[in-house]
Amino acid sequence: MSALRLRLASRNWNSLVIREAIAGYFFILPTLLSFLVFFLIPTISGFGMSFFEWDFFSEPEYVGAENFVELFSDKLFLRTLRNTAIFAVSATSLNVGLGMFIAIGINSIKWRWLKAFLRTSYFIPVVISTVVVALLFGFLLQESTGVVNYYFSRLGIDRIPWLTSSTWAFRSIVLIDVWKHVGFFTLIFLAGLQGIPSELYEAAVVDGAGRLVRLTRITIPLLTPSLFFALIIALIGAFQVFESMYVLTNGGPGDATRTVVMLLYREAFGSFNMGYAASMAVVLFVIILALTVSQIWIGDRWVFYR
Amino acid sequence: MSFASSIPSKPNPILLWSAALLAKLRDKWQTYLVNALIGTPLIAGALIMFLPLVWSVSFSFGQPHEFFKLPPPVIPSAIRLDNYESVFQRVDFARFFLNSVAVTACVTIAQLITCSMAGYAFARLRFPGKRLIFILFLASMMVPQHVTLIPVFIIIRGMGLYNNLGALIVPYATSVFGTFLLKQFFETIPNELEDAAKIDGAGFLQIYRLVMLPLAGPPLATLAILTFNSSWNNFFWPLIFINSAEKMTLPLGMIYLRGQDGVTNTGVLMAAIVLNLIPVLVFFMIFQRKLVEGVTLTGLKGA
Repeated sequence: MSALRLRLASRNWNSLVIREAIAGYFFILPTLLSFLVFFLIPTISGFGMSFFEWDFFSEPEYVGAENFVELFSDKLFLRTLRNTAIFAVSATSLNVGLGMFIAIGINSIKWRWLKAFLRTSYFIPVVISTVVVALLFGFLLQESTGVVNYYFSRLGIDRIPWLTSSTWAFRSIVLIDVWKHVGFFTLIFLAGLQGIPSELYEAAVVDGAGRLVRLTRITIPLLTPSLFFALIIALIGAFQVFESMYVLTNGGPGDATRTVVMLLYREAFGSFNMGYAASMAVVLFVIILALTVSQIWIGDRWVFYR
Repeated sequence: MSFASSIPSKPNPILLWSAALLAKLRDKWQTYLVNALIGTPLIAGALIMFLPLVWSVSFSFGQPHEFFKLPPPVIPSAIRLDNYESVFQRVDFARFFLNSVAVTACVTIAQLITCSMAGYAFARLRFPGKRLIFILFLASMMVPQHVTLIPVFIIIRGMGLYNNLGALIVPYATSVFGTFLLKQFFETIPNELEDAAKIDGAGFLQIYRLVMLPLAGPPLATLAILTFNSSWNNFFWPLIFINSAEKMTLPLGMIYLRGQDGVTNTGVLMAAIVLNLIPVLVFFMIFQRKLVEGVTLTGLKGA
């Protein structure tokens, strides 16, 4: 009797399990299909392609690791790699650093309307497309007729060749990136600040801690998880930077603002060196992966978890 | 003890009251001081955020010869709409706009459906390989899209979607990020709701449609807004897959317009920029709270 019941139960259980599994696959089917077609297969063939020489029209030719060997002796690639790394480090530190201090500043303001106003103003550029931002700044930063230089000259500062000198073009790109993205990081830190329990501050005040002590002993340590998150997001994004350079300087003057993705785009869709471009993407991926993994690894030592 | 004598045995009420008032005043002044001290540089920064947008509006009304007039006017001397007319004459701006609307609407609606479906399955259903698939999904968020770029280009061409709005929609019809967002949400729904529906004889499709979806308003709104924004601003994809003007979306259309115009006619470009900004800013004003919530909640998209 009990064996029969068990068998019945298990058969029921089985059919339910199967029905549930079928339903599960049904529900993930669109996402899974798209994942296979637009991610997994392309990723694998992207890696594979980096071992071939292929101009899109003739037969691909297997060349082993030659693309990679060539890459690391390609002066232009190394230059773009250097540009990208410098851009990533400067844009990340400015975005994350400024974002953190703006957030702490906004958070310590008592007037609600001012808080709301500031939060809104810093966030507006985040929703505007990078193309529009770049076109707008391209106009504002013109050397002789630009608005920015006009006001700078009124302040007694010499006209700055924002986009025409290679050092300044690079700096301009970084500054525009900060203008566009700092609000995003401000927001991440504002969310982190909201998570800090107010009892901690009250207890610190009772113990006689001043503003500076509260900032360095409570706020900043408890913001480290947000900081960690912001750094990872910022670096991943910065290494893939493309649009603002493409629109504003097209990599110039010379190759001063050419990034890895810009070179990749040109190699793939300008010169049809598909294999060579694929190997660049692989290098980019490895760099991003290594950076993220090492950040997570180092993060264990300085991120404060409650 | 010497200090004991300095404490009055009976506190003077007037003294106490005035001390309290003084402390209150000091606190108030300190608040003002701190607000002013921190607020001033922050307001200056906020102005830097605003000014470029203000200038774009004022220059969009200007005439070509005015761009060399210094000081540049912050408030336009007159409201002239010539530049706006030129935008529509030079390129099919309305077409760009409609293309953007169509692509964004399709992508957003598709993602709402596919992400909620997959999110439901990962959160509430058991099936073999679930963990592995989910981990693969998550890992894919780490891989830059440029790795997949060339193979995807070939696949899209193979599908006959090259230079077709479909190329901007089909690859974006699902989202690992959105799936993750919805999964996180569906996991918080109490089992009792689902069990009750099961006892009433509901199948999985009904549970998804009648129990899960009606509850998922907030995360779906977050997903819709983030997707809308990133799809509206997508530039890299159209740059690669679209090559004729009548298929362009707004960001690519802007570059096309600049190419038509060169640098000589800044006013027209500024007018186009303003036309671009208006819908984005209206969208921002309406959904600001939700957008901020979404970005802080998830952090991932939007950047």
